[in-house]
Amino acid sequence: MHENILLKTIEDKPLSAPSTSIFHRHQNENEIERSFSRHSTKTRKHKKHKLSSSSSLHSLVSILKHPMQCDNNQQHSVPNVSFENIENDAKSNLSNSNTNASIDNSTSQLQYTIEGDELTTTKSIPEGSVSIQTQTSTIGFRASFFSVLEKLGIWRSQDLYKTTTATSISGEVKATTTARNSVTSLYFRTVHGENERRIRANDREYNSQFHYANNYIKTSKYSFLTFLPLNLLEQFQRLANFYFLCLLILQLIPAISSLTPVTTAIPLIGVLSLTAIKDAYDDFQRHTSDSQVNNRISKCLRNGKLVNEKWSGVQVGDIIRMENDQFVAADILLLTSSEPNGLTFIETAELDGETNLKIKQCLMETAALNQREDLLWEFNGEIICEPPNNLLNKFEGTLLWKNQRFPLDNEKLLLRGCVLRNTQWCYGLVIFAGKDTKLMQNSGKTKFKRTNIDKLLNFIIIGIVFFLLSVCGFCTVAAAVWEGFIGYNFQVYLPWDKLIVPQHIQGSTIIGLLVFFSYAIVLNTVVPISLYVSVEVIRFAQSFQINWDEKMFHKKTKTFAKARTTTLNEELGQIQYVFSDKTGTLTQNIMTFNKCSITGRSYGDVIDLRTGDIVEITEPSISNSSKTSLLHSAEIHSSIHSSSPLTATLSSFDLNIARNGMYENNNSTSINFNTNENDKKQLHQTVRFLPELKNGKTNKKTIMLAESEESIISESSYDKYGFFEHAVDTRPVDFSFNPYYEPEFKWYDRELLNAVRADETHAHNYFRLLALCHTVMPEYKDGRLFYQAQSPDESALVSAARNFGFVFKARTPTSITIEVNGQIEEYELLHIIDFNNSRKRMSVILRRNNKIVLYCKGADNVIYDRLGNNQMDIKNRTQEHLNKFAGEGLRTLVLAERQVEENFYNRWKRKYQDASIAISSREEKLDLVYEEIECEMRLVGVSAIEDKLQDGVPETISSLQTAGIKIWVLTGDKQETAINIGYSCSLLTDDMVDVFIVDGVTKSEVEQQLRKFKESIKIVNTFHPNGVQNFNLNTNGHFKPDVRNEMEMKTPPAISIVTFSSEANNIFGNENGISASRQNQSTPNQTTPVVEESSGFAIVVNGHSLVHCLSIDLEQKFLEIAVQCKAVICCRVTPLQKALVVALMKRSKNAVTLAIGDGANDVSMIKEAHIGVGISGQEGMQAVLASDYAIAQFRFLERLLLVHGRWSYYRMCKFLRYFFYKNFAFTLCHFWYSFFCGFSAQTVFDPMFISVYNLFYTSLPVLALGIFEQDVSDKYSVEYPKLYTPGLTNALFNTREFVKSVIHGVFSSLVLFLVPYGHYGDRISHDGHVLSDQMLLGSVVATILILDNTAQIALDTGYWTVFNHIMVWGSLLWYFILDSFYNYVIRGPYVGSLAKAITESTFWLTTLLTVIILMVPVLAWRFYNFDCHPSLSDRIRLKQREMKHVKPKPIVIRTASARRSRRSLRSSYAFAHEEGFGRLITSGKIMRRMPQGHEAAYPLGLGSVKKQQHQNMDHNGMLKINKILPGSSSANSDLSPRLPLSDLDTINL
Amino acid sequence: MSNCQTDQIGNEQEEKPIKKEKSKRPVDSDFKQQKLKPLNIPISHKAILSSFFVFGIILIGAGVILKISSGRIKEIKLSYTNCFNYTEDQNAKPTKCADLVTSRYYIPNSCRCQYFFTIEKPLKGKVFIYYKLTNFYHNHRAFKSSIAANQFLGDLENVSEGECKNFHLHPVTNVTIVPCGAIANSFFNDSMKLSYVGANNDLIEVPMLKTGIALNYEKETKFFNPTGLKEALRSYSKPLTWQRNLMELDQQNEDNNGFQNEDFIVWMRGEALKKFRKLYRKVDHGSGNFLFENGLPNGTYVAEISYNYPVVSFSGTKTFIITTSSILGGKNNSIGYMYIVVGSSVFIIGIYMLITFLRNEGNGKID
Repeated sequence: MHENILLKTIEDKPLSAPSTSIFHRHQNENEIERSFSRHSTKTRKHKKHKLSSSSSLHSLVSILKHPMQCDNNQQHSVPNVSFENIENDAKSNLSNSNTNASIDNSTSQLQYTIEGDELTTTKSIPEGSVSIQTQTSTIGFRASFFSVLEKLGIWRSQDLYKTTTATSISGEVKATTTARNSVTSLYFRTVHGENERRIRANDREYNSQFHYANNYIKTSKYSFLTFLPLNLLEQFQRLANFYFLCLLILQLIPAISSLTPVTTAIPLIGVLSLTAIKDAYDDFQRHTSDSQVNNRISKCLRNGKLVNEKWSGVQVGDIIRMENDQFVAADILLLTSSEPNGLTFIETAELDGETNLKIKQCLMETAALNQREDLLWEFNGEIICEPPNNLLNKFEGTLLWKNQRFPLDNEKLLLRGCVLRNTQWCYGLVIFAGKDTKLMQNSGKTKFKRTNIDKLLNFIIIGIVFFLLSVCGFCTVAAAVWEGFIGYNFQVYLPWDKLIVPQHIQGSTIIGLLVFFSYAIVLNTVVPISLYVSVEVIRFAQSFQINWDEKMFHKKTKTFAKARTTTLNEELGQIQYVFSDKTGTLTQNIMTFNKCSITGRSYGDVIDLRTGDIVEITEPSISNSSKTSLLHSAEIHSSIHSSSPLTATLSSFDLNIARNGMYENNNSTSINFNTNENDKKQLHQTVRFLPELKNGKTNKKTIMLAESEESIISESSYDKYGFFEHAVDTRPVDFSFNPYYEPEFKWYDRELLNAVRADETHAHNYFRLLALCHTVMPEYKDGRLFYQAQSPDESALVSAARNFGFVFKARTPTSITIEVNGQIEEYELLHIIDFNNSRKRMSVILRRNNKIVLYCKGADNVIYDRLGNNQMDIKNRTQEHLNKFAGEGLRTLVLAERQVEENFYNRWKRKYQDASIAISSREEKLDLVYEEIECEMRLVGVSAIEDKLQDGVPETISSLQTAGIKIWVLTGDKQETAINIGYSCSLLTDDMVDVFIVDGVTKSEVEQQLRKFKESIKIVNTFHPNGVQNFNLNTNGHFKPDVRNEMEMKTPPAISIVTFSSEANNIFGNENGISASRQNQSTPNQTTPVVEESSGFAIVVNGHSLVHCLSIDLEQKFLEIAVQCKAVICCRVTPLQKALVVALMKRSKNAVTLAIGDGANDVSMIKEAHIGVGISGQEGMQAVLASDYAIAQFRFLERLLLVHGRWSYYRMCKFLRYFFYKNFAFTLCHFWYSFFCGFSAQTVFDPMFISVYNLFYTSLPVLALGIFEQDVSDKYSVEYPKLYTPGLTNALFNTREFVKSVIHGVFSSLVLFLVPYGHYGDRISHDGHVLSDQMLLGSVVATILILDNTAQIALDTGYWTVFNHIMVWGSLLWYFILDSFYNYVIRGPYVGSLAKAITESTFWLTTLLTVIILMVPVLAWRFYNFDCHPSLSDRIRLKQREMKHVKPKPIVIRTASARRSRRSLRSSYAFAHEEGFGRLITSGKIMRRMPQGHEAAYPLGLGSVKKQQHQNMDHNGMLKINKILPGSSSANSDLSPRLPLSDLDTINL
Repeated sequence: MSNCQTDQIGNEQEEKPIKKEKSKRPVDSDFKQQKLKPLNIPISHKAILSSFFVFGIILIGAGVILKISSGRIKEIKLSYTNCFNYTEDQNAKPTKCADLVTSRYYIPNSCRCQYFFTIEKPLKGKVFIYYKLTNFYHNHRAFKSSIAANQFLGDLENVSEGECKNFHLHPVTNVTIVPCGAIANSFFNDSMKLSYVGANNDLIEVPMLKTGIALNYEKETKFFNPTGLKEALRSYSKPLTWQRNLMELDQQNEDNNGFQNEDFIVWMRGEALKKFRKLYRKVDHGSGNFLFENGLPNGTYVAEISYNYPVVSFSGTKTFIITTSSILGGKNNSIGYMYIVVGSSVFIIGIYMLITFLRNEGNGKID
């Protein structure tokens, strides 16, 4: 059957290009030669482009070999000459005959095996990849082939990084080595040892011998049984825990134990069990999520029947069935699908973040299996393919089935994580499962993340241990000396232990050595065991505070922020770099038709009639700021109404009726007057009611606008401030009159609709063009019309036209049907000249009523060049609009048309046909032909599409930038799109000195560019050296008043607008020499005007250049520049490149990074960064699951960092400083005591006190501090992002601060010990009792220590909540309660000591003196600092305290003019558009059947399942005729523009 | 088929934790929103500043009071470490008791020292007599830990060898020592008799109390005699250095014996310093002693000390101290000075702070 089909195909279409054919049964040498010659041109061409770029890449050498001549000539094996123009991966095939070769090179094994006629794919798996496929047409290249391999081997071994290789052998073998344009190759991973994968479909037994990973996903760490041992093992890997374990063991030895083991055991057990409980909880969560994923149901073919199988039960080799909108369970080879030609549509948002549809297509041979389960079960094809790897758009393999070889490529592979769209069902064979899937391979290793503070803590603890050891060492020596000189003599009363040698020197030495361990035990509390637990508890509580935060609750998706990791909070306060994804993170991934310009008139802005300003329209989701009401005084208000233009006439509507209607609906905002169809046209008028006083008791009700079919009443009322709220109508125009309208479509400018209504030709023409010139596919679901477009831009345009009444309804390969205001118009489709990257435009040529018209849309410069001469005026006016639109960050597109005369068209068509069959340089010829018709056009208009940003993105970005955080955008999108978004979210601004674009393909190009940029930075910096440095951080977090100088030195190249807000001035009184600009930098929020930094650089790096930038030699250069830049945008980056960039910054800048993203393509970056943030509440969960924090909107990042992060950091640092202080103050008392007790490791305190000091007596107040402390309120934290800066410089806790704490602690311990010591020596009570005994002194010191701790924490606490009070005073009380409980109830040895002490005046005098000595320096120091070097937070705190009663400012909404950028830079961006469905359309391939009428057209065959099956049977014949799509263009287009003609003629076979 | 589809979709949705938690919209409580009402302790800048002065003055005042009170207290110190043996025989060559006691053949209490001293002004109030040891490492860990707490509670049997280390068994008889341990072994055994030299040179012995010198709570909680003290102690040995058995420590007062002997309790309490004093006796100001009712009258006294306790080998000293006490404790001049010094420093810092405050007023403030 297949043979017949193919035979027919070839006979029918002799022009068939082998390059795109996948399989040929019959061939002759000529054909091969021809095909080869074609390829050689191509390869040469590619060589030109790509050769140089291959340097510096480790590459996979994978050579596909096709044995041509087989022993038995029953089959003619054909070289697989499917020439794939995968953008990143140009290949050429080397085909050879009867070759047995094996290559050894340094890292890889290339193996060739030929078994009869079996086609074998060779595999090589070095850490990198270069795909080399060479092709030959004839036989006998064995020798030359070997020489190629030899050379390759040499090349590989000699110079892995530098040499560019183009291997050509005797003019016949053309081997092109090209660089895979992705860094992924750098990180190419393979599963250990597996160098090829063999799978036999439906043969579990066979497959099981290879032990491929099954589809079970396991992220959990423990099982029920392994929990205890594993967890303990893990915990003891923690330095502190291990340390305490050692101590515990030491304490069990009586000879050295200076303390009972209980002192260590109690806290250690407490710590371990707390941590274990937390770990158990975490792992339980993981188990739950694992089982959720693993228990998803997928339909699996077992014994010829479909059974529901859990995802975890799916195995390699299984055939599974997927249905529409389902997730794909594993990486599967597509076998058959419901759609014609085995097409399958998928969405890969999870994988690469792109939401446009992608097309996959199965082999035609397998497609014939249809959904016949019996046939599918019998399907016993064997697949040999590459081992699991992480390259998303590469797959190579071979299917052996029915004694035939079928090459497999990426087009036939559905990856796990994709979602099936617009495809009723499909069947596929599982190739990679579970951890082998590309998604999992790409997800990067889950790293155990630790915060900087954690690392510092570890370092500090090691330091403390060394400190401890040296103290012990000192005591050892001292003890030995003491024993030698004093102890030896004191043996009358204290003889040495029997164990000890009686000799003088040896004995004392031994005692000294034993004392070492004793002191190690006594002083062990300097390493705070409860530290980790306390830190964890604080973080845990802080995480809850994040989860609870209402201000991070997204109402729309009902999602709140979630701290998924509870161990990283304080790092949120130290973020230096934010790496953000674009799609779905900064943007909503919604394209909206936002503005347009039609014949020199601009539409789309809502103008505030009073001011003439453009009103900024925001979604009503941000409650306050988006309420687009302006405050005016009463007078102004009334003047508005009188000045409101009365553009309307009242026609058929009676004012009274309208008014009645309004009054009935007092609260409603709009009333729809239903009019019948006939009335519609008459009612194209705008009705505007004059303001009118309603009944006396309420205020003015103004009727602002009433449109023909709708009346909108707006109420304006007095607000509580005594202002009128004057409502500018910012409600979207109501399109509900249009039966095809889409409620989601928002358009605010009524003028355009009026224009359309008024039958303005220009407007009609404009929308007609939009409705016709595209490659969108219509689709009907439940009777509703939907569009399927390859890019969201296109569908936005078409749907705009649709809403304005120009409904694109159906298309066939030769016709397009639209409905214009209810009237059907059908156009004959003559040509679609689709987009490609070099053309940057697309055209359709249509015929209607014998008129031929060409509609064209494309990049502005491209279209402008091709306009007729007589349009200077309109060109100029439109140019203005273009600038404006581009300046607002919109994606612009110029529309043009041309009326073509029949004769001209016919002539052109002939040329076109000639060109399309041209054998040589067809591409160029075609381009020329296109040029001929796409000229002399008439400008129709400009459309501007908004890639809708999420709410508050620009504000958030500028706020974060003010805070000193650098923001990098890493996106898979194209350069233009990325730059555009950069502008619209104010990451890039016009006042930037320069925006560097790195797009070099080769290393040297990139290097050159980098050098150039470095130069220009240098030049700019010499002119104003401080211009670029926006932040003057000073280690203390204080601001130094050196800003003024900075300002003076600036000679800004662009205008810097500095505006002062009264509030800002209030805080930073100018008299202190702090310049106003600095203040304004810190107040970028809505309430205060935005200040634009003049100067600063930005750099835009392309993915293929990034490869080089990340290479070892250029890395530093790149960094040097990137660090100087205010904004960095990397576009066209792969998921792994994102991770690499993050890793680079982590590694070389030692910076704290945060990665934020929403899709699976961000997972690796999220995992790599110190903090990963996922955008939740959307479709994909991958990012969220990999993230540490999940927030619903990008704007919440501001609060997450500036409020929670800052607080967390602030709290943690305060906590730690206090914690170390208290431990040193506590522990070192023993050391001081050692000088008086003969270095005998005698403790000052009760052993019980020692063991519970950290856990019971002092932990709660400091925990309360760690949880509740805030220096300034959240409001101020957001308002003054500068407050964030101490975190960036590690100012609040670092080794210096630690040493300070330690010194403070040492000082305190000295005072704590010596003052009571001095007091109590020889001290007697009033009744003669001696007070100098050890227990009493110990109790006194302990009590004063607790008092001091309390005083200290009371001083440290800046924000006393009720909990702080309870904790602080409570724990003081608690000390006395517990102490007496222990002594009197449990009969501790220190019984009565404290009671005795506190009845004596000596105690109180001592306490007073000690506490004063301890507190005065602290108080004085703080007082001094506050007076002389107040930090920003000090100032704000003071303000906060004093301004408490000041009422909040009324919120004034900015009009757009206040914010509008003065950007003159013209976005060079055209239309980041990939090739559309043009070829598919013209070929009729997508069509299920030839439509007989518009109504009956189900172009995508999505009418109903039943019908489809039916149709499939009916039109089998047609199916056969259709040729297989050449490799779909979805993933690969940029660098290898496809030849439209060759495509077309393939299609038209 | 369609069924399955919806199932699947349903599944997908269930998997999203976000959706699960839909209902758990954060509650707008002050606690959860971190807006708890701040109950700050209203400490203003000026309060801190004035506290410097207040505390400075308090400390100086306290120092002055301490100084005065310390000045009023009289102390008579009899340092007798190197005292000579007192004999009736004038011609006999005086021998140092310190040398005698180290001799193996020294008979306890045989070496006596006599000290005559005059009290110019009568010592008013309660008079206490202390013995003071220096260079004696009562606070050494090994020393301090060498006790068996059980024994003191009356449980003589449950004593492990480790507790008393070298002083567990009698080296000759191998009988368990009670009370064992280094501290008990080194029980201070000098004694002093204080006499007032009357008008006609007759000696009136100053009556002294042997009880009430130990801390009540110590005696009540840590020291108990086993029932039938004498019977119980019969099978145990007394510590090597002891002259008398545990049950014979106080021959006048039957109750002041055994573990409850107050001298013993006082000694057993570990001292914090190597230089320490312990309460030896209280002068009995009770009825019948008209002479000593209000303290010690002025005049000449003679102290007769039985020298038994060797300290010279480790350069220790022994002192008897006769002193009174005040509500602020015993005599100590240096403490008063310390308060005055600290107080003045605080005051000076306060002045400096005031200056910086005035100079920088408004810095960091609005306006």
